[in-house]
Amino acid sequence: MAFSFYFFIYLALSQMWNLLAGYAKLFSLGPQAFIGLSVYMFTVALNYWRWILPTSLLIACLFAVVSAVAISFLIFRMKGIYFAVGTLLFSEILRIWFTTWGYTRGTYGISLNLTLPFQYIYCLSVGVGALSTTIIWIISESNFGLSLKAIGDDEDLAQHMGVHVFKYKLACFIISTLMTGLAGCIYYLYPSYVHPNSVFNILWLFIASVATFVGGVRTVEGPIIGSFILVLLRQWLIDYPGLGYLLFGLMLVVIVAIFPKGIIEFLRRFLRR
Amino acid sequence: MIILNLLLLGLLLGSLYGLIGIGFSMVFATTSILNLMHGDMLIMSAYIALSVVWLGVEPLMTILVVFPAIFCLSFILFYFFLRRYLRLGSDLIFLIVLGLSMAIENSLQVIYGTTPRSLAPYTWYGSLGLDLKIVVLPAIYIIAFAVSLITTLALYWFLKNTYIGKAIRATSNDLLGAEIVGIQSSIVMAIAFGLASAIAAIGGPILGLSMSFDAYSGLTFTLISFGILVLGGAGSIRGAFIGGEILGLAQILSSYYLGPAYQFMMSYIVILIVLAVKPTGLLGGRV
Repeated sequence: MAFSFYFFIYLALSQMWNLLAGYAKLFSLGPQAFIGLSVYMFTVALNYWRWILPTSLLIACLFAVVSAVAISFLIFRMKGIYFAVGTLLFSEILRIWFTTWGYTRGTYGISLNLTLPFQYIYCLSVGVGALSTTIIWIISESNFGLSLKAIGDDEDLAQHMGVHVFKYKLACFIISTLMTGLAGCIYYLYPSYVHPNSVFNILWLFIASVATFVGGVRTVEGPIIGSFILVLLRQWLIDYPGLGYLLFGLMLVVIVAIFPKGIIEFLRRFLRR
Repeated sequence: MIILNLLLLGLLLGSLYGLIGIGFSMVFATTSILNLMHGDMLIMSAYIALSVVWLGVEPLMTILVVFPAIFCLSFILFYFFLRRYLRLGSDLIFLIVLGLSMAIENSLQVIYGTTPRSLAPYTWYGSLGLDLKIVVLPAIYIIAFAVSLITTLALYWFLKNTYIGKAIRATSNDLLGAEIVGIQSSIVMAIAFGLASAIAAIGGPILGLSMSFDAYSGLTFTLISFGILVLGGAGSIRGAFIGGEILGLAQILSSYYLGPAYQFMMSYIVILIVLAVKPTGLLGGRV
């Protein structure tokens, strides 16, 4: 049961990372920034302001959107690899800030004032996983997706062809951060404990990126396969924490080196013959 | 005169950052790769130094071990592996380097555990300081400055006066032109990569003396190295040194006025702002 809980969360995260990185080629090294921001806003809404679960989730999502818009003006000035490191810097700044901020109890962490039966949490995770995949599927078949791919392939050319680059990048960014934040909140319903080094951890990036690349960038099925493999690995190596991520890293290297487009592409070519 | 003390400390620390960042800048200038493993190579060298120190060697002597070891490792890594993916575009290399960074950090965690380490307890001068009445400077920072300065000057001399140094500069200036005049760009790039990591490796034991580190500290120093690239411009030693000083000052000043927990945050904010406003570097140069 727990196995597929993680699967759906990872699925949502990697689908959304794929939206940014696979389609629009905006390699965000900082999805954890929005996981952290959303989860903390959720926690504050739930514990401090005493809203109920659905409202808190809503507030958290709205906050994710607002923060995405807020930094977009700064972030989209940076191109390509600079954008990537910029997002990483952003998330590290937030992590350090949250480890010291008294209001959110810094490194003591916060326990959520909520005990939910696992079935509910599981349903929510399935929901968010399915929702993300559906969104990606709809986008990939739409004009919006086409514009994103154009932006990803050649931003200047897309601009000349009439694609309103900033608007589409922003839309894509908002969708991605919203769902990423939502998935993060649902994830933390399970351990019910929030800590800055956990929510802002760069391991979230590793999960999202490895699942995306192993499975296949710019595809809908890619993150599904990638997340599945990742969760399998996680189960096998649950007793050896460092080893698991070590293998994630090596796997990323090997997969990118051998199948640059991921397993999906390899399967497609294989089946076409 | 606390402010004077802080400024001097910042300058001393900054020279170390300059040393660490030069390699990153050099790799970017020569190969257009953002070497995300840079900080991890630094930390790996700190851990190797730690292991050597456990065998009873004086920390500074470990530089002699760490420099060739990391040079060979990086050279081999580049020449036999990374080189093949250069032609396929920066995205791919980026991911490979990211994956390797993950792998290095976690293997260090598996081998050495999660407790923060430091080399300072293994020295006789670890807690000594130079007391000049108006300022007090820890001995370790002075040593860090000395080593960084000597190494930076040595690198400058190397790049200016030796054949390989000039080849590296030529390759970073104009790859095609360098190849036309007969420079084997693949070997030169591999040497540049190896050298860059090895120089960062010199910073490893020094860093281990100046502050505590753990398996995941590599990220912090990769970001600082990136900051030095952004501040100083690609391939510029002078720029890297100045960039390092700026970040060192930012760290020490914010550590005092805002608290030690915030020390890296201020540096990151500075980098982020410069990145958004003038990514080619404060001192000019190409992107």
